[in-house]
Amino acid sequence: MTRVSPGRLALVVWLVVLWQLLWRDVSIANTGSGIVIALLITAVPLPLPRILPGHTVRPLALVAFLAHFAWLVIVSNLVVAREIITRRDYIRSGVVGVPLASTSAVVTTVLADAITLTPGTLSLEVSHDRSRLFVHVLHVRDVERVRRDVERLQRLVLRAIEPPSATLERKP
Amino acid sequence: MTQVGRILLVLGAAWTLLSAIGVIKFDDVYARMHAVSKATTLGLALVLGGAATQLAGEDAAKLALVGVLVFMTVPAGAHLVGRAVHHSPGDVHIRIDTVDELRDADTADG
Amino acid sequence: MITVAFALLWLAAAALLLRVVIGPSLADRVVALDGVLVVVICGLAVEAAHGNQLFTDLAVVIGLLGFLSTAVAARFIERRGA
Repeated sequence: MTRVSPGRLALVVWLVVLWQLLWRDVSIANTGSGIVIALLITAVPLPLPRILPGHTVRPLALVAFLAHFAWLVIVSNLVVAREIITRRDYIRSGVVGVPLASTSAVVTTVLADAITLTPGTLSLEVSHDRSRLFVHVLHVRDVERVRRDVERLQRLVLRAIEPPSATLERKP
Repeated sequence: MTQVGRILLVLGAAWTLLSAIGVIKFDDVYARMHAVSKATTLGLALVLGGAATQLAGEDAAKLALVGVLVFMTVPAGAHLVGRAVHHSPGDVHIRIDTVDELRDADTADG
Repeated sequence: MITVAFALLWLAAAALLLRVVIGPSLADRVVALDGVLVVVICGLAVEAAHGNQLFTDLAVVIGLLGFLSTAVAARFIERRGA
């Protein structure tokens, strides 16, 4: 067990749990066959990009981020609901570019997902050099305010999942 | 079927109907994506919650898994379609009332 | 109450399918279909809540594959236009 990385171990455990779930039965046979299959899958060098190593996850900050995220999901839905129900068209849309503090794929993905589930915003495009994220906004009242909100969200994400320092462009 | 479960199921279903109405009502692609990625996913979350109250541990765990999957993939799907629309050579009706920094950035890059 | 939930889901699916038919672009249709997939998963969950636990597995599979179809369609739009 000297060459097993914690990432791979976690993946194997996860796959075995899924295997047991699908078989609807936690037995010795299922666990055994599950482990064999999981090891086989992880042994095959799949051409998946190696994006995970180097990231440190801080559990407390992660919980804080997820709590904020849950709140955002609810508020964003209420905003969308109001937009759908009322007759007046409150939409004044625009696309705003926000500078990213890290080029890490994981951080950008989590941030983009969170932005899409925030009130009135939708992640649209990442610039070629991964330095900017473009966000479509339903109600643009103040461009700088949008940027500030996204930056605040980005700080929360970065505190929860810290990327390798090589990817940090500037201090968030 | 518990009362809470019933309520969650109906509420979730109603919320997906709300999002569907939004998809019909909105007049541009991006706004429709807002409706689908936000409202439909919450509707699903409510339905999954309601169904989970009725089921035993491992089925409930599967539903939780579905919820996490959908929350990760539907917004990402909307994002992919959004950028495809931007890059697409065709003529898709989109509506942008104020700033468009993406187009500015594109023209700047040449 | 189950019938109420199902009726609502049917209406939601019908409305989304209306958008699929109207369009006007491929992107609109893809977005609406993404919504239909989520509604289908809702239906599976409601059905599972009524005893038919096999549907939870179906829900997991559709959840995984649905995204794939949206991603492929998005790629197509990017290359060939909507």
